Amino acid sequence: MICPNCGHANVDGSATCASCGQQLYGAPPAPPAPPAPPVAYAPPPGYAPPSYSQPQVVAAVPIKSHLVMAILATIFCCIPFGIVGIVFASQVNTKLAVGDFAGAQKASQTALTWSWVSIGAGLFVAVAYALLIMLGLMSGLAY
Amino acid sequence: MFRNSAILTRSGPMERWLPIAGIAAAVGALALFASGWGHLIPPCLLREFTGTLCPGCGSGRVARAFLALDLSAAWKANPLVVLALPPTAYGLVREALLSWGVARLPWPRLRPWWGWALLVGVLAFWALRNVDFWPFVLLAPR
Repeated sequence: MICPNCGHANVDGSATCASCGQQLYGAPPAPPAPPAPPVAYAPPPGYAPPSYSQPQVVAAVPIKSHLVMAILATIFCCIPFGIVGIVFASQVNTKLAVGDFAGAQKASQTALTWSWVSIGAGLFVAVAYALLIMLGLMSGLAY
Repeated sequence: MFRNSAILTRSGPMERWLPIAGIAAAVGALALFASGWGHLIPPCLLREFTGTLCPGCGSGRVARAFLALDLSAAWKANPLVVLALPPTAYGLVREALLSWGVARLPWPRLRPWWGWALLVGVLAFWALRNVDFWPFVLLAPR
């Protein structure tokens, strides 16, 4: 299993990446973080702590900006909802740069949602249009 | 908090299936064009209802021009789509390979202002291609 975060080749079936701690796909969910204060927290063996000055576990996980999706949705769906996706996708990186991880996560979700809305609406229109033309063809009214 | 963030950033069905759906849609559209059924592909809704061009207007003609290997016709139909197609197609394939754990293709580490620059670029393209005199008419589908 190749880690999607850092590219480290892990043993198949590992729950987390041995190099960066990223949770791996298809692996059982990670055990809940212990409720003990951060001082008492003992990292699992093989977990390399990230080199951040603050002990923030949130930063260990990459937050996707979904910028590619938003751009695609904007220029290929002809319905300008994708623009909203680009706005939020851009916010993700801006917020990450200032360390606002919670805000970045929220923006990431919103960006993905708007890309979905745009792509869904585009698909709906395409299918509806093709059906209408088909109906017109069958009844001999159009084209 | 850690678990939540891990779930939020895990690749979803969009990364997993969109590239396949996109390839299927592209092949389908090209087959429609090639077989003379191109009118089954819907027109731009914004253009139908408001008469103004959206940033994607002309992408159908870009697809047709690519089918005929006619890069200059593609550029005339929609320069933004021609420019955006290679990086977005690469990004899609990369996301798909990542979500299946197959490979990790390289991706440039972009500064935060990149997204905003793209946003301004798309909005400017959208506005300017609706301006009806030279040189902005070059941006409208021809």
